[in-house]
Parts: sequence; C-alpha cells; structure tokens
Amino acid sequence: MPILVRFNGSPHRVFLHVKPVLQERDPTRHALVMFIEGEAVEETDDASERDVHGPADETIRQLQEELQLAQGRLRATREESEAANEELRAANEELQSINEEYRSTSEELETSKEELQSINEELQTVNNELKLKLESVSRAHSDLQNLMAATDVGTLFLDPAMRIKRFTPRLMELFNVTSNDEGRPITDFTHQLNYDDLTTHAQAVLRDLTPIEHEVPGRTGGWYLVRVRPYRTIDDKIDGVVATFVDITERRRAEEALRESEERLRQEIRLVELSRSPIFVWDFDNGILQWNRGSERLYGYQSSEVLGRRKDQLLQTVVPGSSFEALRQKLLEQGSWTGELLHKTKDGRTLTVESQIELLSSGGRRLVLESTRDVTDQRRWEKRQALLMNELTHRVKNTLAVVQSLARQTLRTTTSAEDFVARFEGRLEALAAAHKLLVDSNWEGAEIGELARTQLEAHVRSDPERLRIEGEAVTLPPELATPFGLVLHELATNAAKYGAFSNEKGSVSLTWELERRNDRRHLAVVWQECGGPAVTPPTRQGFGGVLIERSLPGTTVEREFAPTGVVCTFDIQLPEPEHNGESTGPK
Amino acid sequence: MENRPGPNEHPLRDLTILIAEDQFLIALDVEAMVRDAGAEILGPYLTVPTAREAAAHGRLSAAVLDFRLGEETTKEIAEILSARAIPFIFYTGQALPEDLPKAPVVAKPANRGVLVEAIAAAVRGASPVALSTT
Repeated sequence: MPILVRFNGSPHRVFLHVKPVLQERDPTRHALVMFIEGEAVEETDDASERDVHGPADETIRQLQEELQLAQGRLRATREESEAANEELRAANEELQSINEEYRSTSEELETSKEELQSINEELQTVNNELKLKLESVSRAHSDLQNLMAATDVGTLFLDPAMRIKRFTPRLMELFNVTSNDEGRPITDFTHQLNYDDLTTHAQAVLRDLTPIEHEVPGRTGGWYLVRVRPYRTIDDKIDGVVATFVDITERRRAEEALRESEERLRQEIRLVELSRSPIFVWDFDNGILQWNRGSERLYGYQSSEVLGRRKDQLLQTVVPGSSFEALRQKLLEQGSWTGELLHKTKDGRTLTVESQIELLSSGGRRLVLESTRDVTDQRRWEKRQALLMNELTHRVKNTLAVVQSLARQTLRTTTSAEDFVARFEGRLEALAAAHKLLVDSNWEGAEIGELARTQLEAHVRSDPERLRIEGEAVTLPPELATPFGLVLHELATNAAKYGAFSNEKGSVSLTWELERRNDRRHLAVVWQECGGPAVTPPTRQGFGGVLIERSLPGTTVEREFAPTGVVCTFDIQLPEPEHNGESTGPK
Repeated sequence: MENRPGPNEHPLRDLTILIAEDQFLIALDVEAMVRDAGAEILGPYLTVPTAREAAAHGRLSAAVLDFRLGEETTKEIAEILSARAIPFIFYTGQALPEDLPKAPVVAKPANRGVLVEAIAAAVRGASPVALSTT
C-alpha cells in the first residue's frame, strides 16, 4: 500500500511491499521488506480541498492509474524476486553438490592420510637401517684409517691417471708427500728409491692386470720390495693400482750373509773333499754320509762303496783298551773324542790312526765328524825306538857286567900286572870286535864267517894261507855272536901260545855246516889245528878253557888235544831265524 | 893278586844259590862272587828250561836271576820260586815289567859286596831299601 512520506521537502509516495522468505524445511522466520519510491504529491491541504471541491472522479482515476502502475511494478518485482529465488535455489543445490563432493574428497583425504602414515613408518624403518649402515661404514672407515696408520708397509693407491688416491704414513718416508697431496700426480714427487719405473710398471699393471714385483735399492742403502697390483673395486672393476713398498733390507742382508756363508761352506766342503787328510762324516745312528779323497787314499774304499755303510763295520774299528760302544757313549757325554784307533783298510792292513771325532746335532740328526791321521809307521817307529832305547840300556849294562867279569876272571888267573893287561886287553878287543859286527847289523846278529875273520886274521896277517875259513853264510844271533867271538879269540890266543900259530908253518881250519835235527837248526863248527908243535893237554883248566867250553849257550863243546893239533868241535843249537813283527819295521 | 875273602867274610855260608844268567861271562862272575861268599852253586843256568827244572825241584836256599835269558824271560822261574817261598833277587840291566813277583833288584853291573849283601838280605827276609832299585 502506498504511504506518504515527506522527504526532500516534499511528500513522496512509497510503496511498502512485505513478503515472507520461504526456506525448505524451516518455518518462515524472515521477511523480505521492499520500499518502492513513488511520484511526488502536491500540498495535500490545497489539493484535497480543491479535489473535494473540484472533480473527485479525477482523483479516483488518478489513484487507480497509480494503483495499476504499482501493481505492475509489484508484478515485475515479484517476478524478479521469483527469478532471484530460483537462482538462489539453484545456487543452493550447487552448494549442496559441492558439499557432497567435499565430503567424498574428505574421505579420500582420510585414506591418503592413512597411507602416508604407513609410508612414514616405513621410511622411519629404512632410516634406522640406513643409520646402522652408516655407523658400520663409519666404523669400517675408521678401521681402515687405523689399519693404514698401523701398517708398517708403505702402500700407495693410485688412480688410473697416476694420481694419488691414498697412502699409508710409512710411504712418507719414501716419497716426499704429505696428506694434502692426495689427488696430485705421483710423478710430481721425488722419492728415496733408485726406481724410476713406477709409472711404467703401474701402467703395465693396468694394461695386463698382472701384478709386478721388484726389489729396488733405496738411496740410503736399504732395499725395498715393490709390488704393484691392480686396484679392484668391490664390483670387480679396475680403478687404478696399489703399490706396496716393503722394507726388505734385513732380509737382503740376511740373504747376502747366507749366500756368503753358503759360498764359504761350499769352499770349505771343497777343501775337505780335496784334502789329503782322511775326513769323513757318519750318522751317529746310521751309516757314512761323506767320504773325502783323503779317506779314499788311506783306506782304499771309493766314496761310492762306503756311503750308507756303518763306519765301525766297514773299518772294523777297534778301540784299544775300550770298545766302540764306550766310545759312542763318551761322544754323547762329551761331544768329542780324541785318541788312537785301529782301522782296517780295504786290502786288509790294520792301521793305527789318531782319530779326532766330534758329534754335531743338525736338524734332529746326530752327525759325527771324524778325521784320522795314519800314525801306523810313527807308532811302529816309536815302539821300535823305545825298544831300542831299552835294549841299548840293557846291552850297555850287560856289556859292562861282561867287562867287569872279564876283568875279575882274568885277574883270578894271571900272575902279573903286565900279564893281566895283555890278556884283558886282548879279550876286550875281541868283545869290541864282536860288538862292532852286531852294531853294524843293527844288533840282528853276526855272520859267522865275518866274525871269524875279524877275530882271527890278526894272527895270520903275514901269511893268510895259514887260516882256512869255510862254510855257508850263517847268522849268529847276538847272544851267541858275542861269546863265540870271545871263544875264537881264546882259541887263537892258545894257538898262538902253544899251537898252530906258535910256529912258522902251522895252520888252522875253521869249518862249519848247518844241519837240521829234531826239527831244530844245529850248527856244527870244527876248529882244527895242524902243523903246530906237538900238543900236550893243559895241566889245569884256565879261564880261557872255561870260556871255550862253557860260554856258548845251548852248545855242546868237545875239545881234543890230539898230538897233531887241537881239535875243537861245537854243536851249536840255533834259534829259528824268524823274528817277531819287529823285522818288518824300518832298518 | 886274588882278592880272597877272610873267614868271617862268608855271609852266604851253608846256602845253595841258584844262578840263572844267559851271559856266561856274567854267570861265571856271579858264580865266583857267590862261591867266594861261602855258598854252594846250583847252575849257572844259561837257558830257561834248564833253570826251570832246578827251580822247581832242586834243593836251594835262594836264587840270583837275570831277567832275560835269550828270547825268554825268568818270569816263570820267579813265579815258581815265589810259590816255593824261596827268596830270590833279580840281577839285571833292564827295567822290569809290572807283573813280576816282587823281589829285590840289583842293577848290573854291581860290585861283589852289593850283590852278596842283597842275597844275604833276601835270605834273612829283609830286603834293604837301598838295594831295591830298578
């Protein structure tokens, strides 16, 4: 309905339109109020007075027109409102569908969120694993660092372009590198080795993939073993080379010393081999191991014949005054033995050797070094010397006793000093002559003919025809030769005093023959005088007669004083001419 | 000229002494010395076999033995005499081996007084120390 409202100094008509706002389920709470401005109105007082007073129809038509206009306007407004309402409804619907979408989206999001959570958990697990791995890697790295620091070997890692990747501290002694030099080419650095082929060798290793080893001298006198090998990654790819430098100075020195001592040993063995002294080595529990030239010469066995044979069996070792077993025992206790042994040669001779034996333990074996010296001749000679010395003393003393006896017995039977001197001197000369022959024969004996001539020739110097000496050469042993010399002297002295030598024409024959009776050698000697003065037997037995008849041991003597001449026969029992081993010695 | 002992110089009176000596001249000398000292003589024997027989079975008071008779020695004789408890001395010029029966030794050459006194001492059962030289 139109309402009159005064504004802008004049009254205006305003249409008030109220309409409830409908919502779907809600009861109407809101109302839509619309003010619609109408045309200005004249002063009501005047107009109304005039209308009232004028034409009232006019006013009513006017009012109707206005109502129709308002109604049209209302209709349009209502339509507009309805369209707006429609639009609102559509918007509402859209909103609703959007809302739906939101809700489904929200649900999807919820699902996604759950998925994310589970992924997150997985990631956490992976993360933990990675952390563990990282720790072990870091431990490995630290181990590696320590290993590098602790290793005593200079080690150099190079990449394929010969740049330093890594090295151990010991390398700094050889190459002038510092820890900051990683990544720089190794060729940029000087070093202490007489070794310029490192890069060449490294490249060769990279090419052939075979390690190279060299012993190179250092500039300060040491030696190093350089080993270059390819660097293989874990997945077996070649990524440079590893060079190690091991200090082998000590080893080289030891090797050199060993080489020298081996050389020396070889020379010594050669010396031993060539030595003329017999030297051989035998296993304490086994046979002969070495046999040098000297041994071959002394014993007659070739080296090839004796190796492996037991020494004591081969040489038939005799230990004088002991046994080989005792010798072995002594060796075990004292490690060495020196003394005389008897060894047999291949041709059966028994040698006296001076043996020096030493026991050595070598590699669990007991080796015996034995060197011997043949003293057979020396011992024989010494033995003979001692024997001779003993013999000499014996003979000198015996001879003195004989001389003493000669003096005393001569003294008993002489009447004057002159007589004594003449007789004693004669007997002493006879003794000396017999001794001279024995000395000349080295006391082996005297040949009977020679003995007779030395004793008798002095008596027939003017006419040798008066003496006949005849018989084969027979050697009288010393114990017979001396008295026989004296006996001949006494016979000759008697002949010169009373018998065949006492005149100008008498003669003496001395003959002998060697016979064998009862398996013994007998020498039958006959002294026969003739042409001398007529013989009369002596009235009393003098010392000379006693000498002639009794002084020859093992001898039967018969003295016959025939008027034509004295005949004296001797049956001398000779010892067998064999001598003990002495006669084989040097003479 | 002979050096005859007086009547109180017969220290070996009434004894019989065996002599074994291969050198006849020495034997003769010993025989003379011993006889002069008043003893009877058994021998002298120049070889071991003859001396052995006398030593084993003879009637004797004492003996004078050379050690070496020819190629043999009187060791055997000494053993026989020891076994018979007959005193004896060695009259020798050489060193004696160890394994002989113990007996006084008179070194050759000895003068008569020494030899006779040694025999007498052996007979008395006391061997003077001064004489047991080798």
